[in-house]
Amino acid sequence: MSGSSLPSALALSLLLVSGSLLPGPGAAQNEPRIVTSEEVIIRESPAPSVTLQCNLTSNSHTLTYSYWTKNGVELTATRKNASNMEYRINKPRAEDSGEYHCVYHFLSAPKANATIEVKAAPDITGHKRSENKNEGQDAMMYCKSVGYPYPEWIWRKKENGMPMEIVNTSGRFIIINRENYTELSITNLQITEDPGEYECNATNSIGSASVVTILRVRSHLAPLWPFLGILAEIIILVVIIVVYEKRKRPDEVPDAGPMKTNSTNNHKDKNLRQRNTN
Amino acid sequence: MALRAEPPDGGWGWMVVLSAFFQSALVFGVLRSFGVFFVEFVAAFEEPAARVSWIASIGIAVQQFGSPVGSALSTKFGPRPVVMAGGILAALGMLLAAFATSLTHLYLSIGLLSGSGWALTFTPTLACLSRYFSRRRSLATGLALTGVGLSSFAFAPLFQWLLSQYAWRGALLLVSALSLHLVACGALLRPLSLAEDPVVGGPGAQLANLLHHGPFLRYTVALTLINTGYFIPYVHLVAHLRDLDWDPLPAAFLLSVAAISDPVGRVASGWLGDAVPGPVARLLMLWTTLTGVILALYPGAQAPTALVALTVAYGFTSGALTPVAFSVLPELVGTGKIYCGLGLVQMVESIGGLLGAPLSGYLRDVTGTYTASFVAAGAFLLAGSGVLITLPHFCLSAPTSKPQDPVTEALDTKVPLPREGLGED
Repeated sequence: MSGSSLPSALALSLLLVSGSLLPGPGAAQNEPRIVTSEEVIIRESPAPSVTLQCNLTSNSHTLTYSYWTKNGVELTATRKNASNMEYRINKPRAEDSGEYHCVYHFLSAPKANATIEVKAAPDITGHKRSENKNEGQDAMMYCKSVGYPYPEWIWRKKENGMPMEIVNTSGRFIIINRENYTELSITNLQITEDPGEYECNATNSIGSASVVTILRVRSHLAPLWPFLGILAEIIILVVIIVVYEKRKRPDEVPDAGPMKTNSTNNHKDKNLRQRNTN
Repeated sequence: MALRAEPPDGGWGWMVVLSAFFQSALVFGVLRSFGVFFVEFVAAFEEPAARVSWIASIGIAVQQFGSPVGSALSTKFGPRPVVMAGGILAALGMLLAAFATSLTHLYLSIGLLSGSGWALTFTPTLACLSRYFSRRRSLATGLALTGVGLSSFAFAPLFQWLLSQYAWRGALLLVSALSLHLVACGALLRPLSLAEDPVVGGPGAQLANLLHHGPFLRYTVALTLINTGYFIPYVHLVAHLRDLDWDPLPAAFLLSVAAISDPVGRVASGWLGDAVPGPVARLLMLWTTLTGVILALYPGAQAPTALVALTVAYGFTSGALTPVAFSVLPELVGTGKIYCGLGLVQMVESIGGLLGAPLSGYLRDVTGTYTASFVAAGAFLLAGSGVLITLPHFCLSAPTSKPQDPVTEALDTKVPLPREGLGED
């Protein structure tokens, strides 16, 4: 045993202890840590109610207020001064899905937040059931959805009962896709190939949905046949009426006005034969 | 040519009723349902609503102002050729409208051409009807006029369906074919020669005589006043309800309710007019006064049940006054002059009809609610019924609805009050 090891060991341990007592680099800003509940997936409806939780731990700053946001927009009546934040969704539906943040504001420190994702399969909320246009015109069909994450859109057309992806060989199809919205425009409608059922399909990581819009193209000649049919019917009616009258009273069918006994023939209908009365 | 001493009161007359029924449907039903095309025209021609509504206004104005022409022509040539020609014109107007490329084309084709066609159909037909009936004239007129109410009920959805199937050009084509049925209706108007006809003379002489006929002129004034207030509810009821925070669908439904009680009123009043002895003008005064009172009550009604009850009552009474109004004229001027008389009445009272709706709208713009409009409409109706009292023999019991001796009619002003109907619109 040497007498010189004891003081160096003592000095070393003193150093270590004092070193640990000194505040380390960055320890002056003790980062607030937020513990969150897990990501939620809304499956079937009606779904059981969901509670999102955020718990602020290891915070050394003064908390001023805290609130919830959904997709960047602050939710009303959630503003509180509490480190323990809860948000309850009672009957979760597809439109309740989104990116939720619990946000904490401090007196003299930057705000902190944490993210909880609420996911659901897309649900298509708006579309046209049918679109009727004349040939040569432009048609526009759209679909709107709710749900998070934002879906991928695919347009299909039903050929022989089977949905087939739309091939833009003629260059007349224009598709515009946005987060929860899609639009299919067809220019210069052709009556031979364009009419039919068009399906928009929204798919995300949870599930998919689709709805059908029926496109009808009117021909310019379509009303002609009923028109001619009605014309023929009227001519037949007039002939029947006149013939019936002439056969019933061949001698006394005055077509002149009641005022004159010598009537002049002046009418525009070619089916009626005027008779001069005296 | 066989001369009859008296109107047949039946027989072929019922076919004339049928013809008049379809004609009032095809003329006024089409006019009333034309609002369905309104939206399409605004979109297709990119014109403001006010300019598009001129189409219907021109059509109505031409139909009413052209009525004397229709009357004069049917006095000369008989109703049949005139009505058939009118049918062809009306259908032609719609046909040309199907190819329109600007709003002006529509003004000319639907407004002017179809309007002239309609002018040649309606008045001669009603006058012809009055010649076929004497004892049951009001009933026949009432039955014939139900065509208006029933058709505006059916045509609005039909036109909507035509628009969705064929777009507006195709739909106009088919409405043109529909209007061509007026020609078939005209074919049914078998001319009738009555004993008094040879005495009365040609259209020019009749017109001059009528313009000096005191009771006829007073009657025309009365009808003009009545016509000014008569259709305010049809024009402004929906807007008034929207002001009261009604939704558009129930408001439109309320209008259909009036459209249902309207033909009921017409038939009931027609039957009543024939069944009750005494001058028919008294019944006319009764119905116009009731309608005026109802209109004046409208601003006071706030609760939905009150409004529904008022609208049912309005439909009934306003429908009721129409057949009686038409029945008065032959009693006043005789069946000989009826074509001219009816045409003249239609033309003058149309002034009231043209002024009524804009006046009511103006009152609403100035005062902020429809209260003044409804009260003014009621006041016009009451004023009209007041003038009716001045017609001769109103207060005394006079001979009932038989055509007078033509000679005395031509010279004499002491005739029972005519009961002319209001112009349809």
